[in-house]
Formats: sequence, C-alpha cells, structure tokens
Amino acid sequence: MKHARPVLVPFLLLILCSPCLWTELSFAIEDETCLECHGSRDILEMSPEERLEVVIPTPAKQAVRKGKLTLYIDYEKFRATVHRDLNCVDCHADIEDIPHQEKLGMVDCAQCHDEIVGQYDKSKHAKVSQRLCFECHNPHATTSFRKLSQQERMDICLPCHDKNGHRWLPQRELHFKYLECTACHAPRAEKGLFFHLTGEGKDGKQVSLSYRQLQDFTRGYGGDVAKAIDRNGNSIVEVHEINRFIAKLKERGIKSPQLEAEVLVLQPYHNYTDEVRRIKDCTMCHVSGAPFYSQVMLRLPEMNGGGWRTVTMDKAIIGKIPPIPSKDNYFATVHGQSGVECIDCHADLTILRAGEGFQVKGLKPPVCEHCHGDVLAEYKDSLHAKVSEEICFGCHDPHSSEPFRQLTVEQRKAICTKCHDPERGHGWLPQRDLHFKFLECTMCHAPQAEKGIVFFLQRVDTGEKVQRLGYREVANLLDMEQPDLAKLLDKDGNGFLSDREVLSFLNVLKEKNPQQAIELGVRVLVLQPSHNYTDKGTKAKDCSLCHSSQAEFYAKLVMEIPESGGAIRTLPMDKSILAGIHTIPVTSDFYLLGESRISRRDIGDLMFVVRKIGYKWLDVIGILFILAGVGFVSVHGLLRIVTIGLRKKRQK
Amino acid sequence: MALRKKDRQKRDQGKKEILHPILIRMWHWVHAIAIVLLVLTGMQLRFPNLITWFGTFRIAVTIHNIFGFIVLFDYLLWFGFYVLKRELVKQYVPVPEDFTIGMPTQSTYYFARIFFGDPAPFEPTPAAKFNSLQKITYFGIMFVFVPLQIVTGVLLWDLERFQSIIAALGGVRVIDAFHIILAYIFTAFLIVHIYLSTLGHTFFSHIIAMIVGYEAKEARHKKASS
Repeated sequence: MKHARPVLVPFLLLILCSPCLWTELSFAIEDETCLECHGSRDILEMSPEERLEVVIPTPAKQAVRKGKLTLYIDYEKFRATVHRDLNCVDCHADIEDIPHQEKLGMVDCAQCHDEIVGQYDKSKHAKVSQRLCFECHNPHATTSFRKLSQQERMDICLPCHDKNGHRWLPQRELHFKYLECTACHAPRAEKGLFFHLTGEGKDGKQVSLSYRQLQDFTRGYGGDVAKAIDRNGNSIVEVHEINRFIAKLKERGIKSPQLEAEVLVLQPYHNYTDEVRRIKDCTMCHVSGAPFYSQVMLRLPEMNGGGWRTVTMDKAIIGKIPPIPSKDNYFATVHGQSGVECIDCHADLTILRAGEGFQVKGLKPPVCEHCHGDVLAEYKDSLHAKVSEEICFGCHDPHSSEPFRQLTVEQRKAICTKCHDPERGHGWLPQRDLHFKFLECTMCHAPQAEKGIVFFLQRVDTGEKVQRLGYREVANLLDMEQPDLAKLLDKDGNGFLSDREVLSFLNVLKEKNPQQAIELGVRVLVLQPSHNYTDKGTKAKDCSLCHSSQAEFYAKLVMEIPESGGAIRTLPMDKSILAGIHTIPVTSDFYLLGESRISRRDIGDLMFVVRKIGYKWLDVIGILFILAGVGFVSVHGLLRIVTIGLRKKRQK
Repeated sequence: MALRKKDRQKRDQGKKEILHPILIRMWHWVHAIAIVLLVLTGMQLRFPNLITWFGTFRIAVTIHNIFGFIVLFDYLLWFGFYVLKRELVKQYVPVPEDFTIGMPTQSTYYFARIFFGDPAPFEPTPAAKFNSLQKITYFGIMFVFVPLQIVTGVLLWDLERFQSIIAALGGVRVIDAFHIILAYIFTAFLIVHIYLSTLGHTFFSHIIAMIVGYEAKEARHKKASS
C-alpha cells in the first residue's frame, strides 16, 4: 500500500483537478440516458407521486409552464427537426446529474435565438399573453420555417386564436386560402409573392404541376424548367415568357394550366399586432407598394425529386394576375373616379358598421351587373359567353380599367390577345400587319359595335415619335390661358366641323409653332363597344365590309377635342376631309373603295368654288397666259441652245 | 409670189432696202415704252398691297393714265399712217392662204425646222412685212385687242363721265375684266414678242432692223455663201 499511494494520489489529483475530465466524467449525460425515462410513453402513465420517486424533490422551487409539451419525447421525430444536432442537456442546461431535480429552470432559447427573443419581448403578444416560446412552438418537433406549408404556419396561431373573428374582411375565405396569419399580423416580417404553375388535377381541382409533367417542355434546355421558360436567359421570367410557356402547356394537353399566387412570409418577425384588424384597411396589401411585392418569385419543381427552386419574376406580372388588385392605381381608373369604393363590390360594410352580420358578395358577374346591366344582357347570349364561359373578369380587370375611349388600339387589342393569338386564323387577310397596326380586333369581330373615324391633334417629335396633344399642350401651342378649343374649332358654332374649320385651326397652330410638326391624327375606332362577339368577319372574308363607301364607320366622323381637366369632347366632322389632298399625312394613305371617285356633290362643290373665286379668275387665267408665254420662250430657247451644234455641222 | 421673187432679186443686188420707215420705227418704240410702263404701273394698280414700284397708288394711276393716252395717240398715228399709205389691209388682214398654207409652214419652221438651220420660209419685204403667223397675230392685236384695251382704258379713266356707256356695257366690273385679261395677254405677248425678235438671221438682226430700218444683208450674204 505504501508503494501504491504515491502512484494513486497523483492519479486521483489529476482526475479531480482536470476540469475537462471532471466534466466528462461527472456530466456527460447522453441523450440515451434521458431517453431511458423520457423516450417511453410509460412516463405519461406515471402518477405524480411515482414521478417524484425518480427525481430529486425541490418543493421550494417554482414550476415553469410547459404549455403543451409533454415529458415523453418522440426521439425519432426529434431527430428530424432543425434541433436534431443538439443534445438534451444543451438546452436543459441545469441538469447536472441523474436523477435531476424535480423542477427545472426555464430553457433559454435566446442562447441561439437571441434576435427572435429580442423581437418578441418587445411585442404586444409577449406583454398581453406572457407566452413563452415553447407555448407556441414545440422545440421537440420543429421543422424549418421555410418547409412549413401555409396551413402549418396558421396552425401555430390557431390553437389560441379564433380566425372567425375576421368577419369584416371581404373575401374572407379567399384571404384564408392564400395567406398565413403573419402576412397581415406581422407587418415587419419579410414577405414575398410566390407564383407556381398549376393544372387541373384528376378531381377537377387546380394542383401544382410536378417536374414529371413539365419534363417534356425542357428538351433542349438540359432538363431545366427555368431555362425553358426564361428564353432570353436574363434570369428574370418576363410576362410574355411565362404566357408563352403556359400557352405551350395548354397546347400539349395540360388541362387549364395557370399561374397561382401565394403571399408567403420569407423571414418571420416575432412582433405581432392586431393593428390590421383595427384599421380594416385594404390598402395595407392592395397597393403596388405592398411589402410582398418587393420579392416576386416563381417556384418551379426541381429536377431531382421533391424540392423547389425559385426564379425571379418580372414584377409586371402583378398587373396581369387579377387576385391581388392594386388599390393605388384604382382611384385613377374609371371605377375609382366614378366613386366606386372597394366595399361597393366586395362587401357591404355599412351593415358591419351597424354591428350586424353581413354577407360577403361573391366575385360573380352580378357585381358588375349592378352598373353594367345592358352589357351583361348583351354578353350573356353571345357566342363568346357560350364557348369560353368567361365572365367579366376573364377579360377586364375592374381595378385598372380606363375609360374605353382613352384606350389606344394596342391596349384594346391586349384585352383579346390575352387569350386569342392574332397570328392564327388571319392568314387570308391581305396587308395583315397593316390591319393589325391600325385596327382593334372588335372592328371586325363585334359587328354591332358602333364604329367611326376619329380625328385628333398630334405632334410628330424628332425620331418620328407621335404624341397625341392634350388640352394643356394645345393651349400652350396657341399661347392662350384657357382657350375653349371646341369654340375655336367650330367657328360658325353649328356643332359640326367642316373640313375647312379643322384645317384652318391646324394652320393657326402651325403658323404659331413653325418649328413643330403638328398634324391631324386619324384612326378608325370602335366608338361604342358591343359585347356580342363573333368570328363572322373572318368567315365572310369580305373586304367591302370596310373598304366601301357603305362601310359602317364611314357614317360617323368625329374630332376629339381635349378639354381642361382631361375630359375629351367630340364633335361630328365633315367626311370630305378624307378625300381632299391636304397636308394630313394619314389621309393620303386612307384608301377607301368608292370614295376616291368624283361625285355629283363634288361637281356642285367645284361650281361653288368657281363662283366664289369669281373675278379673281382673271388673275388666275392671266397668270396662266404669262406662264404659257414664259414656258414657250423657255422651251424654245432651250431647244435652240441644245441644237446649236446641229446647225453648225450643217453649215459646214 | 411674183412680188417676192422681185424682192429677192433686189435684195440680192445688195441694195439698202428700208423695211421699217422712220415713222413706223418711232411709233414702235414709243408704243414699246408706253406698253412696258402701262404693264408695270398696271401691276401696281392690280396688286397695290404687293407692289409699290411707283411710290403711291396715286402716282401709279397718273403714270398709267398718261401712257394710256400716249398709246391712244400713238395708235391713231399708226392707223393714220397705214390708211394714208393704203397698206393697212394688204399688210395686216390675213387671207385664206395664210391659214391654209402660211400658218402650217411657218409653224413647222418655228417648232422644228429652225433647230436644224433650215432657211426661213418667209423673208420680209417692205411690201409684205409679216409672215402668215405674224399677220394673224398682229391683226388680232392691232385690230381687236389694242382698240379694246384703249376703249376700256378710256372708260375706266373717268367713270363718271362715261357712266351711261359703262352701264350699257354691263358695269365697271365687266369693263375692268376685259381690261385686266387683255393686260395679261399683252404681258404674255410682250415676252413672246421679244423672244421671237431674236429669231432673225442673227440674234439681234430684227432688233437692229427696228432701229436702223433695214436688215444687215451683207453679213447675211457672207454667211449664206460661206
């Protein structure tokens, strides 16, 4: 023993003094150790007295709330969570020995999640509910936030909060379908608008398209769906690119392919409020500056199994997808300007304010019928309605509608070309591109629409850019403060513009602004649309529908006169302006069958002018005499000079 | 034709042959100056806003009136001269042959043959000064246009005095219309007249002839023989 002590003492000292070994030996509690008790459901069956027997009782200590956490840990499940790499004692740091104390201290999540805890501590949620982290989140069963579905995210809130409290919210079900709670209730969370491609599934519901379904379309792009869509390769999916891709999907047999949008929280923010509920303000989201618009992405299925990849999308897509209407543009629209409020169509808030129940109006045509009854009556029986079954919103976005009269030919065409490809079916049409350039679709395809020829003032800027002149610009050109343009044009005040009145007005503008190219623009336009569309124009292939003096639009010529405040006044106009040779560029290209021949009326006009010039003809004829004399002298003299050589030769 | 042959013989002899007597030459140049001034002042009267060559409108009217009367007296001089000489009809009144033979011949010469250096189909002589085209034109000018212009001019000179005549003829506007249209015709004629005067044997031979009275025949002969 004597010999043994010198060896044993330093060895024991070494063990006791080495902090490393000390910790290892006394506190290296493996998860397995914990799971001996907590890994079995038996622990749930034990009575409190039985449990007390296996721990060290600490009656003086205060118990910590546990929420819905149980003593039983499904370890398999835990190994799949984001916390899988942590040991039990990493969080339950006050366990020093087994058996551990009866009442453990609070786990400090801030060890890792200090930022989130910081946000939360300042929140109303923390103050009012005094909830602890694990009363909402189960740390033994957490999945990555990004992997949570919208429903799973909502399930975090719903155990305590009743979503039925949203009775004021128009389109409540739609909002719940597409949004998670924190989209509104965590104003500072980072959000994004995510699109994904869906198609009609077997049960008739729209479901996300899988990679297998999209694979066919990636040939030549190395199996990359993103590359197949982003054809110009600028890493941004533009509207026309996605439209083209969807058209392709449709062509190759995928049932009703479309883009579906979801607003998702990218980065949660743990300061929750019910501010939204108090304000009941649609403009929190329904403005183009809504927070989620800062990130517009397209989610596409990944080539190798399950995952998703995101591609940046052109923000212009926002305007094309009706479900998230922008209210900031809304007040500039024809609806907004005529005083139609959100709730006039979407919900009856007057009843809500009186504290009674109310019915949210569905987004169905009856909403439109309230004001546009005649349009709907016409449309209901049309071929378009029967074949396409599109309702109003299929073509028109009521939140960005401009007055029809102010739409350009391009904008009008865009309403149809959303679905119809003008390249198709117009092969027979001579001068097709010219027709497309100047005419809107309904010129031929809405036989009952009222058509006419519209004139307006325009300026051709350098670079051949044509700009239509508004009231202020014309006033500036005239150098007048508040001119009554209609009065200036219609000098005789008979409410009808003769070609002379228009041309002399144009001359005044030109004389005052000699350096600017001001001219009369002209377009054949639909003046009053008809919603009864047909393909008759295509079937008849009859040019004389338009190219004849009997053409319908020929019956109505109007001049559009801008007025102060942006309104436009129209005055009927004499059609003789089209046949005349004036310095209006377009009239020289305006070829209408049957209109370029002289008529009895023209002869009458001519005689009138002859009589009107009267004695001044003397000067005209006299000058012609002189010109004839000068002409004879010049030609004869020239021939004399030219033939000098001939005569000299002959003399020799 | 017999006459012409005789003339040609005379000319071939190289005699100085007076084509334009001194009185006719004087008449021509007075008439020329007067017509030019009438045209110029007339233009100012017609377009007073555009033309102010003669100062005020009043001055232009005065000059116009003076030269108008000069033309009137000059015309009477010319008329008297030819009446007394008994050549008026012979020189100025076209005969049917002038239309049937003379006019086509002269026209083809002026419009085509002249360019190839063909000799003129007509040579003026004191007895027959004008070719058929000239005859027809001068007949119209001297017997219709000039008298008409003088008469309308005189009527417009004093509207009050000739009130009844003017009324009978259809009013000032009608008289004025004739006067104006004739003025334009004279202006056009003047241009063509001056140009045609260069179509002689040499560029200036006709013009010189109207100054000295005869054409430079020596030069012409030299030219022809060479």
